[in-house]
Amino acid sequence: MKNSVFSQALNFKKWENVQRNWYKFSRNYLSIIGLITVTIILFLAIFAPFITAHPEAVARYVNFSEAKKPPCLSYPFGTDTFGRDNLTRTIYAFRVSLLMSFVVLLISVPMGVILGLIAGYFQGTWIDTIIMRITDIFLSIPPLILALAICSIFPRNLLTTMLAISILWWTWYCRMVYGTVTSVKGEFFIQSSELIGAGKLHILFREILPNCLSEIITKITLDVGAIILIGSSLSFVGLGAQPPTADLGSMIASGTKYLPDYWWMTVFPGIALVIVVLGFNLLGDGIHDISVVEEI
Amino acid sequence: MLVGSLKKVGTKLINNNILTVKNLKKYFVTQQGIVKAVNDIDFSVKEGETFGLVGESGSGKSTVAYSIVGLYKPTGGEITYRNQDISNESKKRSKELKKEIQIVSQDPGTSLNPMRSIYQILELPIQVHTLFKNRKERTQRIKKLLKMVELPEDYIYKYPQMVGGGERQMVSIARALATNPSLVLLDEPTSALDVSIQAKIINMLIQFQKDFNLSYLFITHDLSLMRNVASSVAIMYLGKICENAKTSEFFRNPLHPYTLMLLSSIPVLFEEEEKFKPKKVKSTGEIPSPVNIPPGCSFHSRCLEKMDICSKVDPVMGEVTKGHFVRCHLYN
Amino acid sequence: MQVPLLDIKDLYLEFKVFGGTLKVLDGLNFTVWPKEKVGLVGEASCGKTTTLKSIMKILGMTSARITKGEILFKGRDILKMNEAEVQDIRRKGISMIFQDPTAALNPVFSIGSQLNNIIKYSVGSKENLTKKKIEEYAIEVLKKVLLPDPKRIFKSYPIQLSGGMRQRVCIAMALLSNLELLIADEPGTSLDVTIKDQVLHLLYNLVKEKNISIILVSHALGMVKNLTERTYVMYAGSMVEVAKTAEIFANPLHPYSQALIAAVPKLTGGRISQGIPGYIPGYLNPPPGCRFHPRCSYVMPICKVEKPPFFKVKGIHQVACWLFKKGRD
Repeated sequence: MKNSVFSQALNFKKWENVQRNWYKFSRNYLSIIGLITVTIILFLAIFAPFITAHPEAVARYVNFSEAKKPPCLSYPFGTDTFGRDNLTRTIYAFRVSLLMSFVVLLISVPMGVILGLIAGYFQGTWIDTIIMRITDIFLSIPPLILALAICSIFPRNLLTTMLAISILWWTWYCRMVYGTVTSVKGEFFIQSSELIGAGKLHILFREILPNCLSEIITKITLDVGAIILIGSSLSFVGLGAQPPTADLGSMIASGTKYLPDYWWMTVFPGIALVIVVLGFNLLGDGIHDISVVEEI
Repeated sequence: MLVGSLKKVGTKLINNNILTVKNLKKYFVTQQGIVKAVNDIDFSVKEGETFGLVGESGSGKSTVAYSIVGLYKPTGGEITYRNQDISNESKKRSKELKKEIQIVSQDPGTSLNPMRSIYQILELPIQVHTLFKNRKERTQRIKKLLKMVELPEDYIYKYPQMVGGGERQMVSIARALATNPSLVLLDEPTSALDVSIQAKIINMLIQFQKDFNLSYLFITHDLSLMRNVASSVAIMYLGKICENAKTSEFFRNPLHPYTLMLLSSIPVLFEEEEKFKPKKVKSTGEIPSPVNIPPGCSFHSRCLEKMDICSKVDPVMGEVTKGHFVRCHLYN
Repeated sequence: MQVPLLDIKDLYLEFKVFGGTLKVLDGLNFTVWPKEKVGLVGEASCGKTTTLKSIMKILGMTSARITKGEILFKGRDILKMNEAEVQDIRRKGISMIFQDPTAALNPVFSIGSQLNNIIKYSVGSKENLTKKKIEEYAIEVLKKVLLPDPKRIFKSYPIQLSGGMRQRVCIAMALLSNLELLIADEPGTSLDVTIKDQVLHLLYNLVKEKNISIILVSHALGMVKNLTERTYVMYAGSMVEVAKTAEIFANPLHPYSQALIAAVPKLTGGRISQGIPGYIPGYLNPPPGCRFHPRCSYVMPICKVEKPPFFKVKGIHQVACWLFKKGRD
C-alpha cells in the first residue's frame, strides 16, 4: 500500500482543510481568473438595478432619437434599434441567463442525484431497471426538439423554457451518480458500515453521496455555462425570454439582422456570453483540481 | 474499561467455545463455473483465546471470516455463536449480534471512507447502537478510544488519507472495539504494514484481549506471526482445512505436506529458526485456480509424498494425536 | 581502483507541497559495486522508493527538486544527463522490477507483443532481427524464467496469468537487455509465501548466472537476508547502517536496526518485541540532528543537534550514530 510521506501533520486544525483546498485550487492561475470572472458576473447580476446608468432600457421604452448609436461615452456599448442602452441590457441579460441556469439546476440536480443514488444502490433489482430505463428514454430525446415541442403547447415564456430544459437535464446527473455509486458500493468501507448496522438512509446520504460530491459540483459549474448556451439557442429561435426582457441569446439574435453596419448590437452580447461560459468553465476546472488526491 | 451494555446474546458456553463452525460451505457461481471458496470446514474458537487461520490466496480464509460476520450467507453448514445459530446474512441479524461480532479488514486503504473524518467514522458504531445519549459523551468516548490505540486526540479532525497505513489500521481497530464486542475477526490486519508497526499493533491487540476478554479469529499467511499470537492454528488450502492443532503441538510436530511446504518457504532471520524449519520440502508448482480444483486431495498436484490414492479419493479429517487433526492419506 | 557501478553521493531531495517543503532525502550515500548483490532495508515512507525513482529518473512529480548531490552510474552523473542518454541507460544499463506485477504489465497487449517491443528496442537495435528471430528470443527468455509452456504464455494476456507468473514475466522483461544493474523494488510482496520463495530463488540464480549487480529493496528482512551480500538500513531519508548481510543480522549496531530486527516475529516463538515507540517523522519539519533521536533509547545531547556521519566500525561495517564516534564504544 502506498504510504505517502504526507502522513504527518502538525497541530492540525479543522479549518486547515479549507486552506489546503485553496492551495490546490490556486495553483493554476486560470482557476483564479475563472473565480474572479464569476464573482464579477454575479456581482453585476445581483446589483444590476443599482449600477446601471439607464435602468429604463429593459422596460418598454423607446427613444428613436438615440437609436442605433455606436459606442460612445454615454452609451459604452451603443444603443439598439429602440434607443435602449446596450450596456444596461447586457448587464440585465446576465441576470436572466444566470437565473435560468440556477432554476434549471435547482430542479434537475436533486432529482438526478437522488434517482442515481437509489438506482445505483439497488443495482440489479427492479428499482434499478425502472429508473435507468426511464433515464435512457429521456436521454434519447433531442433536447432542442423537446423544448420546441413543449414551448409550442404551453405559453411561451421564460418559465416554460426552464422547465423544458430541466426535464431533460436531470438524466445526466442520474447517469453520472449511478456510475459512481455502483463502484463505491462495493468498497469495504461501505460494507463495513452496513455490518456495523447503519441504516440505508445513512449509507446513501452520508457515506456514498460524499464520494460523488466532487464530480457533482464540478459538473454543476460546467453546466451553468452549458445551460446558458442552450437557453441562448432557444432564444435565438424565439423561445426563452420574451421581449422586452433581455437575454443574451435574444440580444444576439435581434442584432444579427443589422450586421455588419450596427455590429455593436450583436458583438457585445456575444462577447459577454463567451466570458460567462468561459468563466464558469475555468472555475469548474479549478474546483475539479481540489478533488484530486495527491500522493507521492 | 469499555462502557456499554453487558447483556450478551445467547447462553452459557459449551466447552468454553464462543464460536463453532460446522460443515461450513460457501460456493459462488461465476462465469467460469462454481467456485467452492469454502468447502466443508469445522473449527471452534474458545472464549478469550486466539484461533489462527493460515492460508495463501484462494484458500478461502477471508470468505470464512466474511461468512461469520454476515457479509455472505453460507451455502451450507452452520455457524454457532454462543450456542445460537447465526448462519444468515447481516441484514437478517439482530442489532445485538452486530454489536458482538466485529471485523478488521486487511487493506487500510479501503476500510475507511475517505470522505468521512475519523470522528465521524468512530461515531457511527456508537450512534447506531445508541450507547451514549448526547454528543458531548460521544466525543469523550471517541477520544478515549483514540487514546486506547495510542493516537493523539486531534486526529478526530483528520481524514484517512492524511494518516499513514498503520494509523489507519489502528482507527479500524478502535472502530471495531467501539461497541464492546466479544468476538473480533482480524483478516490479515498487519499484512500491509511494516514490521515495527506490526509489532506495536499486535502487542496492542494482545493487551486488549487480556483487558476485555476478547476472542480473536486471526487470519494471516505469516506463520511466524501466528506462532506468537495464536493458541490454536488451522491451515487452509483451496477451501478445506488441512491441519488443525494447538500452536505448540503444531510447530513441534507439523504433519501435513502442505504445512511442511509452507514452513520451509518462510524466510527467517536467525540460525535457530533456520534449524527449526523442515529442510526437505522445496515448494513447487502453482496454486490451482479455485474453479478447477484437482480431483481427490486438492493438494496432490504439488505434493512430494503423493500416493496413488491421493488423486482419486479426498482424505477425511482424522485425529492423529489428541487435539491434532490432519486431513491426509498418509495418516489415515 | 575499481569504479563503483552506482554511486549516490550526498543526495538531497525535496518536494514542494501545501504547507512547505518535504525534505525527504537528507544526505543519502549509497554505493553498489559491479557484480554485487546489495540489499536496502527500510520501512514505508523512509524514502527508498523515491531514491529508486530518482535513479531511474522516473520521479514523475514536477514538485520534486534535487538540491544537492550526484548519482553516478559508471562514473557519469545521471542527474546531468539529457533525456537521450538516460533512455540509453534504461535500455542497456539499469532495469527495474516493481512491486506489483499486475500494474507493471499493460493489460491490453499480449505478453508476446510486450516482450517483442522490448527486444526490438534493446537488443535488436544493434542487429536487425527479423520478427521470427525476435519471437524465438522471447520464448527462450520465458523458458529461462521457468515458465511452463512458454509458447502459450507468449500468446496470453496478463490477466490470464497468476501473480507468480506475472512476476516471472516482469523478471524476464528486466533481464532481456544487456544490463549491468537490476533494481528490484519489493518483488514478491504481492505474492503468496510458497510462490514468493520460488520466484526469489529464480531471481537469485538468474542474477548469479548473468553476473550482474542487483539492488534488492524490501521491508521484509528475511528476504533480504537470504539473497544479498551487503545490506544498507535506511531511515527517514538517509542510510543509518551498512555492513555485510550476515554481519548486520548477527550484530546490528544502530539502535534503529536493532529495534527493527527485534520486532520481527520469530518462528521459534517467544514474545514479539514492543516495536519502536513514536512514529516515523514527518518530512515538513523533520527532527534536527539525527532524525531517529526522538525514538532512540540511547539518545545523547549531540544527537539532537548534529547529524552523525558514517563511522567505520569494522571492515565495511559502518554506522551513522554518535555512539560509535572514534574514541567511544
